[in-house]
Amino acid sequence: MKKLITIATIFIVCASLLVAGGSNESESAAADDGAFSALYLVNGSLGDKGFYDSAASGFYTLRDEDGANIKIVEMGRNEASYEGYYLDASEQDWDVIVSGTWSVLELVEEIAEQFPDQDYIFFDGTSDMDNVMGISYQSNETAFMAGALAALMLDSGDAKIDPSQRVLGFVGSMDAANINDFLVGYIDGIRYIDPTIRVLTSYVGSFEDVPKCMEMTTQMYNQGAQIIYAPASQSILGAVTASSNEDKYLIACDTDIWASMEESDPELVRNVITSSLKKVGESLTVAMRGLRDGTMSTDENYVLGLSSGSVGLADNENYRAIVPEDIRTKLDEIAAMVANGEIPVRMATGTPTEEVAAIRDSMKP
Amino acid sequence: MSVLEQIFSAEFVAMWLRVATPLLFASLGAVICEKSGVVNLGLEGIMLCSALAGVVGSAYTESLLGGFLCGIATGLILSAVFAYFHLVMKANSVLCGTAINTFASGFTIFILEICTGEKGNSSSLRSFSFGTLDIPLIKDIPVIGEILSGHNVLTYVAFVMVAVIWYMLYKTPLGLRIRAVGENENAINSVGISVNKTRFIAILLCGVLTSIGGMYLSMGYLNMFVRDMVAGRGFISLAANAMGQCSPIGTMCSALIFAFFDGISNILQLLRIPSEFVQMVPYAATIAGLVIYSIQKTESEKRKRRMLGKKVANNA
Repeated sequence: MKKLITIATIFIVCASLLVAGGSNESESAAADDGAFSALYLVNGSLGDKGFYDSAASGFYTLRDEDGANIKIVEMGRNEASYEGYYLDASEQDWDVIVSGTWSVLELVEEIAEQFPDQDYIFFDGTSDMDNVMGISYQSNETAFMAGALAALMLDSGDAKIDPSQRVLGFVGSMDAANINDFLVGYIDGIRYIDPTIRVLTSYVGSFEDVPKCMEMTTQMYNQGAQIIYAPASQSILGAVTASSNEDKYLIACDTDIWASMEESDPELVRNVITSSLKKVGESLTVAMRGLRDGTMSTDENYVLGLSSGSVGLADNENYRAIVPEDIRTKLDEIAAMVANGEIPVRMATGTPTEEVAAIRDSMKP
Repeated sequence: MSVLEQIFSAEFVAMWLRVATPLLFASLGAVICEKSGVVNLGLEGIMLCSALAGVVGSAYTESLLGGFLCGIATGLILSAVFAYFHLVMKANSVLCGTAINTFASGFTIFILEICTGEKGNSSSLRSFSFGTLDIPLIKDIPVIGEILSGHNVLTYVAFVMVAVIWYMLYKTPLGLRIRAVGENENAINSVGISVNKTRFIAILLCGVLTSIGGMYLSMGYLNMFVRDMVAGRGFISLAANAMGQCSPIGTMCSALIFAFFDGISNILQLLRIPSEFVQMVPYAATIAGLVIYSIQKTESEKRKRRMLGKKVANNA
């Protein structure tokens, strides 16, 4: 009996490890029917309602519209195991292996060096390797639009906004260059409309501490922030909850939170005006098609901004309901000017940390 | 608005209690375990699983009670597994706890996907949450009413639990046994009480408390489960228990201290203080607390020794 229990437990533990570690199949990868084959190695798991999900949607488009062979492997949270996934994948016969976000950049480059004939795409960053195509997004431009929107909304006369308080807020996940790109763009957008507006800034210091994000956002509303912009990764749901509890407006980030949750919980997302989007999925579809047709090359880096349509504010029903038409038209004009370079937007990437801190502190009340 | 003004506001107190509640539950659980001589590192995982179980349970049974029972049951099952491996199979408790945490992180995502088709959060489930409680009469008193009334039901339960656990540990036979097992298991063995049975009970009690802490996160704080939402609170609770010297009152105080500094860190960032510094504050406070605690302890031991020396000298 004891033996039976032991065997059963070992079995359960093994099974749960498999579940926890993501699907770990290494069977023949690309079926040889001549179709384009692409593999997405997720450094985490899907369901983040952000980057990863968006990237996966690009793969689904490629599968459904072009009949490509696709596979998505979720590598989970254990970074020590990532290398094995990359080695396995690179030894198989994929046309392209895709992954993204800074935490795996070094690894991708290391592997790409070992497999010079394999093509890789790395999104949300740049790479100098000949067989790695870098795709980066000008988050500062999409954040600029969020800032302009927030500043314009202050004087829209909306009942949930007190125009006498010239304060807006920013809740980021980490004090890191990629998040500060949002901050700097946001601040520039606000200053473009009204330089007297002040901006409160907080960082959760974690990608998934939802309760902490909720507290920070609540505190910010309490201190007079009228609209808050929250590039807070997964913990953004805390900011959304705070905006619902305090009945104040929020601008979300990366994916269209309102559209994705409007059916399941309309009450919760009612104050999410819009989301600043990085259309990772669309850009990946374009990049993979370009690679397949030979119009894009892996030794290049592509920077996608407002002009390419890969970033921008989510234009959903809630946005149209909350934001008055004149502001929306104004925003479209601003977007066009940012896209053709008429309005310069600063970046945090490449800017010294002290300078970013100075920009941030100069906006605090 | 100055920082002091913000800290001495009723809003801050409300936030403070919100932040403290999950820590309080889990650290009380840790107190019971530790008193019985078991280090339960699995608090984090138990909180996470119960947080999900509460949400899923309340959605499927369409009642808050159903969710609550589901969460408790999950806590009990995980604790029983922990206890079985640690007590019966004699596995190292640290490893067992770590295994539970690792298991919980993947398992919750797995169950979440089965139930909702999503891996990120449970917003598509219609789950119930614990409401807030307005205390009649007290709520009408200015300031005090604002501070004491209108919190989540579980917050009040947490503070009541401090007293309950204190009573249980120091005034009941069970508490005596639990403490005795932790102090000297041979002694309790010699009077014919099963060491394992007593520890098993302690671990299960810990599981119940911890799972309430977990449910507070997904059914009080927020109205949904988000993966990995516990974010280290289980470990902070263990630290609170260590700093509180494993006594319910001391642990409550240290949990409140941690929560206070965590709350402060939410406010300080809004000022011109570098965020790295602010994020350090709760942890620096922990270290400072532990240092003060150990200084006091060595001082009191010195004093005891001196007293003993005097007594010996007097007698001679």
